[in-house]
Amino acid sequence: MPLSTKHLLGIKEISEQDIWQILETAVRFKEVINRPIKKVPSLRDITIANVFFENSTRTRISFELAERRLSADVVNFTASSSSVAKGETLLDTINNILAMKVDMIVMRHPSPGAPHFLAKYVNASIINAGDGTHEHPTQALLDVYSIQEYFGRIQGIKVVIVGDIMHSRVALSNIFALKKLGAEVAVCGPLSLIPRYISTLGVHVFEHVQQALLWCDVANVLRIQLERQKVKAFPSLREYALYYGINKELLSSLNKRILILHPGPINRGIELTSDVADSEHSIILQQVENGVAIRMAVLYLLAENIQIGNFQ
Amino acid sequence: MRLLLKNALIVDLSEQNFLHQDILIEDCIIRRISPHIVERDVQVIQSSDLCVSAGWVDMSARLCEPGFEHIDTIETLCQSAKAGGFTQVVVLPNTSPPLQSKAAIEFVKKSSQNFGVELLPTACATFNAAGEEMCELYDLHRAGAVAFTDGIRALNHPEVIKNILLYIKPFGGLFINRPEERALTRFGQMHEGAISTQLGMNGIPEIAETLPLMRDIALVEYTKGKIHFSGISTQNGVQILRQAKAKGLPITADVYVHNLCFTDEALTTFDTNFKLNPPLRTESDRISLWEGIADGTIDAIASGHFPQDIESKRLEFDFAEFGALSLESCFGALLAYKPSWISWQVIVEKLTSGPRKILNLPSPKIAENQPANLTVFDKSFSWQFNLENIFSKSKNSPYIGKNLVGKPLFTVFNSCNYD
Repeated sequence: MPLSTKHLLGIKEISEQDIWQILETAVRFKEVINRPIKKVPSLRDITIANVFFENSTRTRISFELAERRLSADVVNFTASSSSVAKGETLLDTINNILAMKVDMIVMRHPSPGAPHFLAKYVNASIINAGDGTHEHPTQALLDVYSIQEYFGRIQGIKVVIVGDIMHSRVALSNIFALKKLGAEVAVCGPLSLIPRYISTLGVHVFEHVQQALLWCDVANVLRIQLERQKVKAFPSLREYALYYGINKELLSSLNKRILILHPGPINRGIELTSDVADSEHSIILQQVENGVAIRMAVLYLLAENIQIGNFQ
Repeated sequence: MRLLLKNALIVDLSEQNFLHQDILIEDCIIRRISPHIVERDVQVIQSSDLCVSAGWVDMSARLCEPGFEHIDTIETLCQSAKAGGFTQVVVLPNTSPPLQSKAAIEFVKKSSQNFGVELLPTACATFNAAGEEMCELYDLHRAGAVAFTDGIRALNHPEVIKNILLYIKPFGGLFINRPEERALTRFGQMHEGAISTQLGMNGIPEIAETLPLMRDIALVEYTKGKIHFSGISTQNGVQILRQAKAKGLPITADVYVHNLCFTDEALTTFDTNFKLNPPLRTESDRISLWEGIADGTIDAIASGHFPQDIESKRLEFDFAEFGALSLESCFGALLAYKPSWISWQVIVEKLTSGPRKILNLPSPKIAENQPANLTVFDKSFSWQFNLENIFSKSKNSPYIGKNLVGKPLFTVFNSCNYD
């Protein structure tokens, strides 16, 4: 069954049913990518443009691998090599790409709502690969997939997101996804990096990382990003590590086992020490593997709509 | 040209006198007011709920000429104002170059003379609206600047504000400030609240308004000067003003139409026509603003008319400019979005005697042999606001497609082009 939406703009916009559909489809694709021959012909004749206006390594590679393993035709576009620097508008850039008969756009952009804006004006399937500090839906989907895979359920699982919540699209998409699927969600980090109205999303705020870890089953630890902060809301990475960093000693003090997720890339020794990142607590590399399966599922399900002519 | 208004309700707020009369206007003079006038060779105006009041005054519209004629011109601004029922419009000084010389003030005053609308220029309070050096305020006052303001650029330096308030006191000058602490708003895209949290957008917090309000009120107490606040948007802002006014301080305030009609909920689709400054706040803020209007805390309703060209609006949300058109849709939007406990008469008051008191302008009289400065409107007319109702060169209106109630029919002022 195809998805009830033409685009994947954010988790907020998609239904719980669509989320489950993606997660179930991803199970099948995870099996596919573990075969000796990892490629299936599902997206033959579909052309996808990966349009990245912000730096990305793993998300772009993950999308590209997913696309190629589905036999789609793929073109890549990054802002540095583009005409964006010459002052072309986003709409013009995308319309030029679409004029070359592209069916789907995977876009990363620094502005919140940029994919929503695009979806209003262009006639292609848009997949949001991160829009500024707003959403990163495929990351949230792979995170809930990984939690589901580990625990066999999401309902009732306690997840704390630790770090710079204010500037994190991963946090927001995770909150939406986890809440929709029945998890309990909390956030923890320097209060200067937590949106004042975060509790309106139905999440709890922990001021101290130890309390947060004592409460949770899963800690999704965010990369602390100085570059996204227009105003410096904490003094230094060193102090962040001291104040909110997670190390082996802290984990041992909990007297219980928790699962550690991280969207990568890790700042080793800052938000996570190496002995935590590489420990049996962490499923960071499984997340990366699941990311390809999730993106294959999303592409496959959205392409079905194109192939059968829905939303024309 | 002679004009006969049939059975028009005369809205005279000074006398609290509301009578249905026929009114004969000839060459912009009110010739006769009588229950039943029969005249030949006149253009007869009839409407089911015809009303006439003193011409409406807008407290804040963007002037784009000189410098931004591709966005709007003086002529199109006057057309927008007339369509919105306004006969006098206070314009911001943020042109290029800014309004900060006697010549610039005279230019604005003269260039609107033929369009049936009087533009009332404000002048920059500080040079280039940069918030540092005071302009030649006395000379600008003598040239006809109705007030001093840095317009869209809030003035935040307490010493500069203090000196301006003291300096303009002897000649009765008026200082207008927008309560906006730039240090708290410079990256903000919308109201900081539940919606901005959901949208992952940088918020403009309420304290960005309340902090400068408290500071400026303290400066008014200190200097005994006079201040007008433009664009109040928050519940706490209204409360702070209410308390300051209760102390008898010489403070006035206006609110923009948008903030009375919409809330931050409108932004969930990232529609840049709702990207405004002051930002759309919450429903409780919106209701508090109406309460401020009802109890007199807020003295006037301003259009906040701010044309922006499509190149500045059809963009990713955080790249788009702030501002929306408002003049043409102002009255219809106010009546359509007002709470039921607000009367239409209060709205007319906040568009007529309210702004005139702030600006110390004479009130036009609706009496025989008086020069006409009138707005003629139908207070119950239901209509849909569309692109063809826009006279500005820009089209950035959040009211397109909205159903409005109450429509200005025409104005009579200076020139007699009532079409």
